[in-house]
Amino acid sequence: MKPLFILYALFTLVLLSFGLHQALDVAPTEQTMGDIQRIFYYHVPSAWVAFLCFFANFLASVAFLANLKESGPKSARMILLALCGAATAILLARHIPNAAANVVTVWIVYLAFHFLTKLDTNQQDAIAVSTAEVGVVFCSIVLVTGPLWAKPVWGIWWTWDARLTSTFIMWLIYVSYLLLRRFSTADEQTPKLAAALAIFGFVDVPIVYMSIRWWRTQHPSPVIGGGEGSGLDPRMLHVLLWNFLAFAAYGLLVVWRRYQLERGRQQLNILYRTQGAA
Amino acid sequence: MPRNLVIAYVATWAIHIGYLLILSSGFRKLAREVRELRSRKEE
Repeated sequence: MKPLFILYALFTLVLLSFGLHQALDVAPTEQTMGDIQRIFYYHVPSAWVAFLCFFANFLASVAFLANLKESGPKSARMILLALCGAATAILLARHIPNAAANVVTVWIVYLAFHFLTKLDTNQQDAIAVSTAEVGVVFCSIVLVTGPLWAKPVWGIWWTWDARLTSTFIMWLIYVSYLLLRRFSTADEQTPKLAAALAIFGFVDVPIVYMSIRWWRTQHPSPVIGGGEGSGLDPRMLHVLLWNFLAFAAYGLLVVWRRYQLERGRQQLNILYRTQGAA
Repeated sequence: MPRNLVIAYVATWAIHIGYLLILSSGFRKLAREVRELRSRKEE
């Protein structure tokens, strides 16, 4: 392992320990729910990291399919550039709160996609599978910690409301993506099939995010970006953001390792093929 | 501290550590296959 990786792993460990201390000792106790509300500091950041992973998987899958044609990457970049330009114009014209931050996010996405299209298809495929796998891990945590919070607060472990159901479907989609990659026998076709599944599967991600805004659900309304009447105690928000930073850093670390493993496997497969051909 | 809070935090880390173990077994398997391939080449 390279020193940079070890240094980053140590930094992540410090962040996670600090996040845990903040969640258990520093965050104020919620008046109605009591200490059980502290599950929120692991549940919500895990969901956000899962969303980020699935979004990265989507971008890598689009870049992978675009790279299969010679003019594909350039066309894909042009289309995204037009979409980002339109999004910037809309955000600035509507004078919504935090418009500048949203504009910056839009252009970070464009730069990330631009970077992804410059990679070769094996690298794009390795990023896609790494992010999907880590996303499933974080999504599994969301599905485990949610019912553990719900039982004492709602009196039930689970209900088939829009947020819970769409999250469960999202988990199933990405588990099926990983199963396809693991068990498909169509060797060279597998990454293409998986990329197509990832693009269609990603449709569920914004549905999950918006479900508590579009429908009245058993799941609590959004506390961040939920519009008027929503909000979070600044001390709780501070703890939530620390934990998000810690889990995002940890997610990146694990994606990094999983990417290295996938690249190793790809290189081994090439060696097997060349040896077989010889 | 509520029991479900403890279970949720322990479960989170159990899932993460479980995944890290799967990852490290993947690296071990990869290293073994590389060794086997090299020894087959030398033969």
